[in-house]
Amino acid sequence: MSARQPNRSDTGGWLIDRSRVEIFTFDGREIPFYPGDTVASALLAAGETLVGRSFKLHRPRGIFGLGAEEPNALLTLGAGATLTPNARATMIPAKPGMQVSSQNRWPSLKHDAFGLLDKVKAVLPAGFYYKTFMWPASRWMTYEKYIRRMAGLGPAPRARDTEQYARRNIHCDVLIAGGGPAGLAAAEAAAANGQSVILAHARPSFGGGVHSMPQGPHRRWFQDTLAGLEAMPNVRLMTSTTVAGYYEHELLTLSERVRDRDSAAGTAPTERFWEVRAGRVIIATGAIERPLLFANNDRPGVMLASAAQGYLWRFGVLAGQAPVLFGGDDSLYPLARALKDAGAIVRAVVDLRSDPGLVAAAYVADGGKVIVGAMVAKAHGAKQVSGAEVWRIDEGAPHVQETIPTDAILISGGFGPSLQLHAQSKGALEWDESLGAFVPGVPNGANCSIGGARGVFDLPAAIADGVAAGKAASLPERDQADRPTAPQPWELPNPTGGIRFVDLQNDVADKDIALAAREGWHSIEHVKRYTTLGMGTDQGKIAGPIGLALLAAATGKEVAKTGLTTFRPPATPVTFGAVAGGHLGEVGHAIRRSAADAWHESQNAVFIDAGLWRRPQYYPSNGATLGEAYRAEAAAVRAGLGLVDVSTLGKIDLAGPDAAELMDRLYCNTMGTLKVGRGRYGLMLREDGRVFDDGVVFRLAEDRFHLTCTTGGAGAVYQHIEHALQVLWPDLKAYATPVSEEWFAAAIAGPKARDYLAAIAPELDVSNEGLPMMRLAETMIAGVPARVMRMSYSGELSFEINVPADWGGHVWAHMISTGNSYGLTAYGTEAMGALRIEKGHVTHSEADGRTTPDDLGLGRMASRKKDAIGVRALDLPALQESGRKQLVGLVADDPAAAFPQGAQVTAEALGDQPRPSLGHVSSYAYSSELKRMVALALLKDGRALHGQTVHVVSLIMGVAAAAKVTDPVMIDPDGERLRG
Amino acid sequence: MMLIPCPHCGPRPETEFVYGGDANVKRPDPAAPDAEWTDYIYFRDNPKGAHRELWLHAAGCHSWLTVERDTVTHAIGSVSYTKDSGE
Repeated sequence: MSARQPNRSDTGGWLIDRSRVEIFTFDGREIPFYPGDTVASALLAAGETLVGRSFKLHRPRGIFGLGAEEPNALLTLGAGATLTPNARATMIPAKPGMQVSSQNRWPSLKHDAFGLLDKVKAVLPAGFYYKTFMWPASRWMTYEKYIRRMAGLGPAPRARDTEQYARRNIHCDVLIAGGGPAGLAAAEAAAANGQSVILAHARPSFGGGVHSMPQGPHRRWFQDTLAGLEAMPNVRLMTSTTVAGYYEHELLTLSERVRDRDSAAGTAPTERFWEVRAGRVIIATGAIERPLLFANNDRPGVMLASAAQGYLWRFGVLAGQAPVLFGGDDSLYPLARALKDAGAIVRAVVDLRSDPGLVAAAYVADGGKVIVGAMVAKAHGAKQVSGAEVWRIDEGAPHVQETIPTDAILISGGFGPSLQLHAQSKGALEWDESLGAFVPGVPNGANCSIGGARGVFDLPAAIADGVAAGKAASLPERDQADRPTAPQPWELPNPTGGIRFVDLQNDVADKDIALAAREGWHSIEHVKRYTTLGMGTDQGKIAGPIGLALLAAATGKEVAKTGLTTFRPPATPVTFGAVAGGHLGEVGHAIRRSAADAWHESQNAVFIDAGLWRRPQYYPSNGATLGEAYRAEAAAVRAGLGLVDVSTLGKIDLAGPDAAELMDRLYCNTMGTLKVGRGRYGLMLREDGRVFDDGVVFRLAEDRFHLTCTTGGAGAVYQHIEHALQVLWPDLKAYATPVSEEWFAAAIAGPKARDYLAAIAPELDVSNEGLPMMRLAETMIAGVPARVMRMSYSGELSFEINVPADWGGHVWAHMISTGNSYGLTAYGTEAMGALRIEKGHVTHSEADGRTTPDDLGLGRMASRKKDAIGVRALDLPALQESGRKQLVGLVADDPAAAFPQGAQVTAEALGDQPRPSLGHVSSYAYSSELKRMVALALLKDGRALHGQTVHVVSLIMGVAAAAKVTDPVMIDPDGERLRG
Repeated sequence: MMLIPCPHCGPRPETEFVYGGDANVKRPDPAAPDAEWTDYIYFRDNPKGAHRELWLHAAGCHSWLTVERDTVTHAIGSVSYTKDSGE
């Protein structure tokens, strides 16, 4: 013991190296530690009892547990770009120079301004926020920022994370979660059978409970077993690795802490996230001790007895100098002796049993103090326990026995299996009356739980479990313990009436659960959400079972029937960085580039995402804005000649003797009659009659078609065709090949398009007779074989040119250089959108999954002379009724008016009264031709409104504009330009 | 994440597949009454337990597969090419 480590004992310390002392800082103070310490054990050794403030009430809190179950000691590690909030002090290895800070306190941990919240606990019952602050709704905005400041955990880092993370995928025969005695034994047995084994252990060193015990033969067994495993090539030993998630078919996720943040970077990532597909899974995650309820059971110094035992034997640290032990079974007495041997003054053992038996008697005979038939009913002290108020509960009414001065109350309410992984795998849970705990029932999938994780707490029996599980043999019969004579934790009286916490992390007290039950919340899932029981980052590992039993008692149900809340991954928190791994930025979001992408980039094009593709949205020459650029680009098309890269459009090659028949079934309009070399616009429907996708189809041969579809719909259309071919009509002889990436595609449009085409395709007859609308021709462009298709999206005279994708950049460059003398203007998706809106062409903004062909004014396309997907549904009454929204054009009255985004359309101008919506604007743009805003809109019975004035309004943006309802085709209604 | 044994590609993770719904529904004849079509388009059983369903191996061989899956345990029984189901 030293002045700087007042609670360090010479006894114990299996995991520490006492040969040198290192330093980290906690809230700026230097904390000495030995290599091997956790942050928690070092803080305890240094006498730092107070480590945090509670989530809601800001009560002072100390270290309560030993491992992942820790509810209180959540600390912030590092600062700036490497800041990690909410780290469990019990799980973080202490490292030299580490910067550790307490959370949820202001201005300091010892003098927390919000600590007075605790004084008003009476006005902060379950559901308080729901009841008080949510109404009137307008006031919530006022309260929220204060509440957010008061209640919370660590701060989210503000700087971009500079650490590296990695992801790995791996397979194994057997994955073992937990490297304690049972897990080690299982690994050895499985590996000896030649199986590939992964043994994952959350802590830096294997052994688990072995290290919470004094010297004995088990240590030799542990060392030999570990050495044996290390020598086996078919075993992957993973320390500092938490098995976080158990998903279907034995896929498990592991979070491995490779090195400490802030430590020398090297090439290793900070954390590695593993996806393991295992043949079978052995769950050896141990058990968690349950607390006992008494007033002020959250005071710093109150700790699980098993944690105190662990701190002593693992780290040589005393949980207190003068502890009181409180529980209801014989395990208290060896711990009391060990603490005494290590230099503590054990004030008393408070035993719930009135007749504890021989072990207790022997302890008394050796001079120990035992109070039987009694409980600690209240902890005294505020920032640290100062006394244990002991009440007798075995004779008559509970009455005070004495208050024992103490600095630590070590409590044991029995153990319950750690059920996370078993429950995540959707295995059944069974209530074990003798343990007073849920235990794993019938598993779902190839897994079994062993040792503490199935309620086998005895060391030799746990090892026997491991051996059997490793060999894939059936597990030994589990010893059924006698029903304990001591009351269960939730059965204890509360004679002082003080506050008793069930969930320390979320400040949920027993009376909150009782209140929730009185208010009618009887499902544990509802009580969880109403009281926040078990909703902390510890997921109620300690609180869950107690809260459940209290609810069962309050509602008069059996615990077994009340059931547990759903366990969801991760079992313990996993950092976002680890899950994301290297999938950040461009690596996380693949980009498809057209063959002309380099040219677009050289022109400083502004790109927009279209699925995975990136497309030029506009070319901001001379610093033009989006609005300026697209208007100029669109005007150039109408006046002269434009060029647009349309490579991203979906293209599918459909071939086979039944290709024509299949086309007729895929499209609502007739396709089978199409002549070779000709094209037709087609509509595909979903089986419910809604428009699914559209595009132009060309017939390349009697048995072969070239389909185009929308950029975004390409993948779904291909799946749809495969569904038709493999599921609906497997007798049809045809096959589909997605060829979107095979072709580079560019469209030229504008009055000069023909002259220009003649220049770049000198071998082609470009006359109106030689190449009429919807005709396909093959020729050479820039020395490359090309398909030229005459079709128009812009409404101008237009041709689409397809060349093999590898030649796309070459052909595009040739077209650009040839185009100079024609005033060729490259245009992006924004101008393309404006041109098609003027022409009333639909996209997925109009074909939005709700509209039928008739809604879009294309009802005549749906042929009733044949069976095609979706056509039958058009006859269903709901699609025939009036009142459906129909596509119309809207032309602004005022050339200066702007159309707001997300606009609704009303019949009357907005006044003080709300107006019913006639429908909504689906697309809008500035018309360079009409010199004002135009839009496509879906309005109720819209076709009947042609010629009327409506109002395009957005209440959110506070904008309204009057507009005329027109046919969707707002310019050149007879199509003279495109046919010219 | 489920592992679906594709008869062409072998066992592959669920993320490679697209779900296609109940494999037992059959597209009615176009002449069938509205009620039958409405049933086909809009109504599906949501069974607890055994389910025959369609999966497309979209990131693999692009086969539509008929998969027998238990909706509670996710246990997968037989998997076959839908095209070959001969119904």
